[in-house]
Amino acid sequence: MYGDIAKYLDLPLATQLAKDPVCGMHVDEGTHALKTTVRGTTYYFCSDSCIQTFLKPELEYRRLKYLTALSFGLGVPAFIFSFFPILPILPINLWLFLIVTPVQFIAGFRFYKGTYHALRARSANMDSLIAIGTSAAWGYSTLATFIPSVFGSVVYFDTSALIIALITLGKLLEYGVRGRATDAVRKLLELQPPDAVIIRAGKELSIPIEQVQVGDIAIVKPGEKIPVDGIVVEGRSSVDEKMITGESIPVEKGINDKVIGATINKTGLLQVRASKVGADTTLSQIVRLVEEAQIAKAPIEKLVDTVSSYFVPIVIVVALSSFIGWYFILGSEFTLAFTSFIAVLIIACPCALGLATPAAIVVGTGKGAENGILIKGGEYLEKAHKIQSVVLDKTGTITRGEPSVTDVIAIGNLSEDEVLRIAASVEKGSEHPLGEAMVRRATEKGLSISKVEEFEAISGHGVKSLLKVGRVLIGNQKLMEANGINASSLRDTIERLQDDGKTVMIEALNGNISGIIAAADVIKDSSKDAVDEMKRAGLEVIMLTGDNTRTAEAVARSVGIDSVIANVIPSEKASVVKRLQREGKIVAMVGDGINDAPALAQAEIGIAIGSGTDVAVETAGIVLMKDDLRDVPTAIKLSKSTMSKVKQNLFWAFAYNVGLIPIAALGFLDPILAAGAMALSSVTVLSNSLLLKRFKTMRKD
Amino acid sequence: MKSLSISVSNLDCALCVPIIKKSLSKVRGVQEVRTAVMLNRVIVDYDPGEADVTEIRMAVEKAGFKALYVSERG
Repeated sequence: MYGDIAKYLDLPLATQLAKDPVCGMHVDEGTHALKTTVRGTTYYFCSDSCIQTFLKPELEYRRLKYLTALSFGLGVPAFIFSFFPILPILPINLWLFLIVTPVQFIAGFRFYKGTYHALRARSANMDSLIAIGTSAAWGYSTLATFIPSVFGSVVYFDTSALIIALITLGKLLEYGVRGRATDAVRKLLELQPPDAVIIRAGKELSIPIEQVQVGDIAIVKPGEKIPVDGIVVEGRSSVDEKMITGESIPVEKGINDKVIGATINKTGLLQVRASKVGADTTLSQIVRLVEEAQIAKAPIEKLVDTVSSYFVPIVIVVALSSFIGWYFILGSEFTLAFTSFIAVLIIACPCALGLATPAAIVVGTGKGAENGILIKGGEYLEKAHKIQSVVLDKTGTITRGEPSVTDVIAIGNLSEDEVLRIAASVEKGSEHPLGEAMVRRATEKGLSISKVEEFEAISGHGVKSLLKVGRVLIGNQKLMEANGINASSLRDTIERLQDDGKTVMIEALNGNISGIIAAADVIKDSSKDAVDEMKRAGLEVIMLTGDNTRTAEAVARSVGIDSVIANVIPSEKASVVKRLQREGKIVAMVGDGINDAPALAQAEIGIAIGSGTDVAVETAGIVLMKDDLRDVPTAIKLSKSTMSKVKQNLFWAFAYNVGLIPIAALGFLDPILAAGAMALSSVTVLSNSLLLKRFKTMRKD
Repeated sequence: MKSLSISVSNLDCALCVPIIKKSLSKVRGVQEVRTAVMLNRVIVDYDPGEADVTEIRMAVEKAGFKALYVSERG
């Protein structure tokens, strides 16, 4: 709108339009002075009231502190003076009335307000219970103060004030603990660098991160964060990706390598072409996923929510019955009946019950995210801890999923290194996985690659090439035959290699066979440890593969897997999982999420491994950022720990919120103690959940 | 359909959930309301043709909650 008008009137176009985070209005950054910087991000506001609202969490904390101080400052003296009525001039009850009334209506205002809103929604909440309980105590005492002839001279002012004081204190404590419970999410958000240095029109320009576009070239100096996901176009460096993938060892990056936004460039200067920005970056997706995990309700939580919604009316009935029972039926003293009534109301606030599950889940999923284990919600945590069988896809899960050179055999008078060097020279620039494997191996060995003068790829056979050393052929037996080279003397060697599941390539130099290079999909270093760990945890480990039985069993043996399901074509993986489920097993399927999506979806829980930057694997309930199978047992163990925290929390919450109700109703619980217990219950549940932060992953490095 | 994430400072107890849900579901165009008590957050899926951010904000405030921070989810 402004843009159109500006164009029409030939005004300077507002290039920087920021959004007011409170009301959502677009604000011109240039002309608006209303802004504030929180954790490195500057926010702009349309009005003073919006900025005030935005800054309120801090104000809220300060207010709670004042209110706690006020209510204790007056409540404790009221308590003391109730026992030692030493105040002069006025009658003691009038003194107590004067001391306590500000607590009731200033510190207690929030409870009245909450009750009002709940009533308007024809509902009741914790505020209602506290408001009813404290108002009953305060109201009765006030009547007793002014009309003692009717109501007697016993007052409960200290009770109402101390209930308010303790509950406000509980809220204050909760505030701090809550912050620590959710800090994993906040830390993720803080990883995002606020701006980026990019090249535009040949100049280096520092711009806010929101304005980086796909295709922009960003310059990242050593020690700085890579602003967005992208591809290295210039430079070489090692990059610390721990904050995203959980991998503690920095990763070497060179031209054409993918880098992830928010990771730290350690050693060299990098130029990165942005490939994903804004909500599409890996970091944004992780944040979203972690948030989503906490919004999606675990089944156990839904149950608790249902229970809570019937809680308040039931509690009010119990409280009233307790009063009527004591006073009218059993004919006990008024004080006993009245304090039981209040104690029931106060003890029964089901806040701790409501927090029991989400608190543990927030800490558990946060802990996972710190280690590159993304759990998509409480539902999956619940499922993961019940897992009995883990099905591992072979390719890409147990193995690297790409060929590596396993054997180099020199035939004739060249050395093995020379055989590899020639092959790598020919394949340099090849996009074939086998070619890439040879180049990678040669680079690892520090062999110098020479220039190719001619190159021809022969589909399905191999390549023909001309190097300084001569004419080179690399490929299968058919390629050799087609060029009149007899490879029959190598048959035994080739068959032996093939039996091990290796792919064999023959290299010929100037018409004579010079060597054999074999490559295979090799097992990841961590796979054996991971399988051991899972077996130790009592899980059945099954390997699933399209390979023939012999090859499959060789791989399974070397990582310690006993049961193998071989010869499974990709489209049948899901039905194999189904068959296992029909045998009564609760199955987790682990795969790379590309070919095995249906199997991941079929399993009770799908675990996608090494998805790298693609976090949004739809069919997986757990996404492992790192390509390390050890994260599977870690994820299952974390789920178990989290679920046992949930159960402990529910136990404590029930003990406080439900178990103490009959005790209060029977008159064994003083209302002030009830308030203390109530204040502690939420803090207990939250603190117990925080213990999950001590969870140790089983990495040995 | 659009989605809003609203940070609500005093949405901190399971008993608040039905109240805020009720108020928001009365707004025309609001399709789904989800809450995260630990994050003090409510997620509102709505049809931008029928409801707008201000209306949704008002519904949160009217139920007695403080809507601190509203952001759009993609």
